[in-house]
Amino acid sequence: MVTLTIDGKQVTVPEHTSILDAARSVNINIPTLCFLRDINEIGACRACVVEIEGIDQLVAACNNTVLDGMVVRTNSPKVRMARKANVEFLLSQHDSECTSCVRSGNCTLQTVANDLGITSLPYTKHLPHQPWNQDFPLIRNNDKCINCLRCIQVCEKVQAEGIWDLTNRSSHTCVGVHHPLPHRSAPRARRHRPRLRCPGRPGQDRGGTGGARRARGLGRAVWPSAREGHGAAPGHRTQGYGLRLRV
Amino acid sequence: MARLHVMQRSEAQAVMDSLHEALGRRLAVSSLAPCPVEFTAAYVNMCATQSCGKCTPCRVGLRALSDLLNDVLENRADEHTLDLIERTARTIYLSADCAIGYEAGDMALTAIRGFRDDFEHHVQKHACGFTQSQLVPCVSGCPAGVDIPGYISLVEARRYTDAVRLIRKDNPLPLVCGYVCEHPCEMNCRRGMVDDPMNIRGLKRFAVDHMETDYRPNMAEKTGKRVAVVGGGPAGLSCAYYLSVMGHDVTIYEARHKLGGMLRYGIPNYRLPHERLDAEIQWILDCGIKVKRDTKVEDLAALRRDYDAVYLAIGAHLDRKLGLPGEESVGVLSAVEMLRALGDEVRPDFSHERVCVIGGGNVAMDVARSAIRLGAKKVTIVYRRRVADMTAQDEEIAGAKAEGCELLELHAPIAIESQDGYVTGLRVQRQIIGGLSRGRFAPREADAPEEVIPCERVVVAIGQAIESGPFEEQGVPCRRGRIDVGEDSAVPGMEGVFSGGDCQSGPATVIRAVNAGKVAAGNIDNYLGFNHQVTLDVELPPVQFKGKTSCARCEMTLREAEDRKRDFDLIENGLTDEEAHQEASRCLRCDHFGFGAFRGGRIEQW
Repeated sequence: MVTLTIDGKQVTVPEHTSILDAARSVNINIPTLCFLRDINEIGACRACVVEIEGIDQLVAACNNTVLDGMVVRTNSPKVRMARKANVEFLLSQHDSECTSCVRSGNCTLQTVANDLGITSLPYTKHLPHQPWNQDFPLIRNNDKCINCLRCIQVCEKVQAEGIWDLTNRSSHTCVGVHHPLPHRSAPRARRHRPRLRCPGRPGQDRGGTGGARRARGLGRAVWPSAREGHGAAPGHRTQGYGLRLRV
Repeated sequence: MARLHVMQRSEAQAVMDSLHEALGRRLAVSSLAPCPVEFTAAYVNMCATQSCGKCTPCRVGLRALSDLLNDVLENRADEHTLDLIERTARTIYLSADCAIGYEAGDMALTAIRGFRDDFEHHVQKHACGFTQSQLVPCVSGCPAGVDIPGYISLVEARRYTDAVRLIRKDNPLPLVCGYVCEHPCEMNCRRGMVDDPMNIRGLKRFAVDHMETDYRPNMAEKTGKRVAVVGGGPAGLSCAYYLSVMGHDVTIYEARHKLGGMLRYGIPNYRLPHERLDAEIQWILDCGIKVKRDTKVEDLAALRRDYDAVYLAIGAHLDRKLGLPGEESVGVLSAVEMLRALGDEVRPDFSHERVCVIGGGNVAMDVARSAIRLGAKKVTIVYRRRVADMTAQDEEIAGAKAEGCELLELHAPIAIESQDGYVTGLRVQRQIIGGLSRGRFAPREADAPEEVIPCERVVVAIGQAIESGPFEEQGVPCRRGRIDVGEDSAVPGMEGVFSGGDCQSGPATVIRAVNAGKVAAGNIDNYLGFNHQVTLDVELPPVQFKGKTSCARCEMTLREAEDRKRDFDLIENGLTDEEAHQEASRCLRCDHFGFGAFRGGRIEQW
């Protein structure tokens, strides 16, 4: 067992516990966006950064483990500043038209941004405006994507398909496919949808509700519906990290 | 499909590598040119290209930061923008997952904090606060502002005397600089963007060594004003030369028997032969400069009464002590003492002695290499940091090594062992290198036992101090031992007294001392009520566009180590005629092409 201090509270947890889980064990909530247990523990979004005494820089709580005697602060001014700025960064590349977004109200990004008190966006908006074949059975809207990269990991690790990948680098990084998806690979792409988990709303079905889609042979096609949590029993409705979208 | 693949370097990767290399060269030579804000923006963008795109601060933050920096450049920013810029850079530094991001954030923070004034200038005045200082890159890099493209073109045209005349417009010590200048000009040489920087010092030495005839400078009419120069080193000589050319009556007061200061008492003969130095000094003195040798100035006020102006250029000739037990033993001497003796042609016999030299600067290399020449059986240079951290120039370190000096890095001296008052060894403690401290990587004690290096002599070369105390007592303001004067060299509160050189800057380079002397001469001239102009009196050959060619730099060679370490004769061979002309032809003539053309490419008079 390892004993550490988080926000002044003594916490004793097993070795190899993440800082995130250690904090949650004493009801200290650290926001996360990209974290998906066992599937996507990559510390990409930097919303979960925390301060560790003795280190000037911050560290991701989701993929770093606790050490004995560690003193963690999850809500210091430095943490709040960096966390807020990082979410502002994400929003600068996110189409924040919440009024016309089906995820509004069920959106982790929205919740985290609200919790951090983001009421205006200081940075210039850059949306990728990527064209998408509207005849394709799956509609992906990268203007909504915050590059949490969970879809890529699920595609690779759960579906073992490896269709989705990062395209471009740096500021132009996007989730996409390296070559245009042929229409016939649509079933493969669609197979991901029930398992894709997305804190924002990059992709969605072509419209219509379950019945209409089924009539077109498309099945239920809500991407990023994120209903079944990885490892959860079928039908078990998990909350992801804030997503409340139900089947 | 094969299971594994042998790693191969693709053609695209080769192109990428060559572009990276070119970028490095380009950056290395262009630090005088850019607007700080524009450079920071470009730097951030360049860092962004290295981002893999995984994490928010690096992927998005660097772009957001770049947007804000462009807002500053394009006059869309206000004072809140600067705070947001700082907060953004700080977030990137604090929360990026890897060095690609956090180093970019940290560098951006350094820039934003370091250039804060310029950022504010952009925001408030909608203009860059930095003047466009890089008229001609090499000239901008030279403290004395020597017309480098001008004299290179004269070397190319085989007009060597004219080249030396042109150099002397800004630097009266072309020979000294041709042999020992640290050539900061070459750091800025634009040719470095193409292949290698020009060998500027080599060309200067070639011109000096191949003058067709001697000449005398044009002297202005006598003014009747009398100026005393205290100290006959490079700063004092430069000041004296220009003042006498301007028509003033100059007297140099020199505490030692011979003039030259550190040029003689700091630089060994094998780098700068004394007879050549004497010739250059005599050429300057022949302008009608009087010299009082072996005369230490004690009473500044009395001197000031006797003269219309005084220039203090006393240099940095005091040795620093280690403060270690055993330092008073027989066999311990300072680098200053040793080089001073050599300067007066006194050559002690070190034969059969083992010598430890403490220090890692150019002076340490000078005494170590001199010790070899004095017959020492073994010379060990003991330094507490790594060889890579030594402040000595790389070629000096390589030269010392080639001549057989042992470099013992990461060993700190802790005591001098002695028996019956005579040195028997140097006790050292192994060190381990650590992180940055005040701009340098700092060593600390390693977990290792002390060792003793047996030796009969220890030479301490850990820097020089300034004998400023007596002048401080007489009212000359000093800070940390240095004479504290403004950029105009005038000593505050002492009318008609000026100061410069090592005694003001701390131990520095010849060319900085020349600059100090030149600046003081101009300002003393004005103080005396004149405005003499030192002008260009050499007609330069026409410029010819040659287009981009590829040609590497010719380096000067050294006499073979086995041969040169037996005597104190000059070790460096100058460029050959063929090399010098090829080298001169490589000059890109930035006085004519590029921004140089805008304002005539040269300062014709000062």
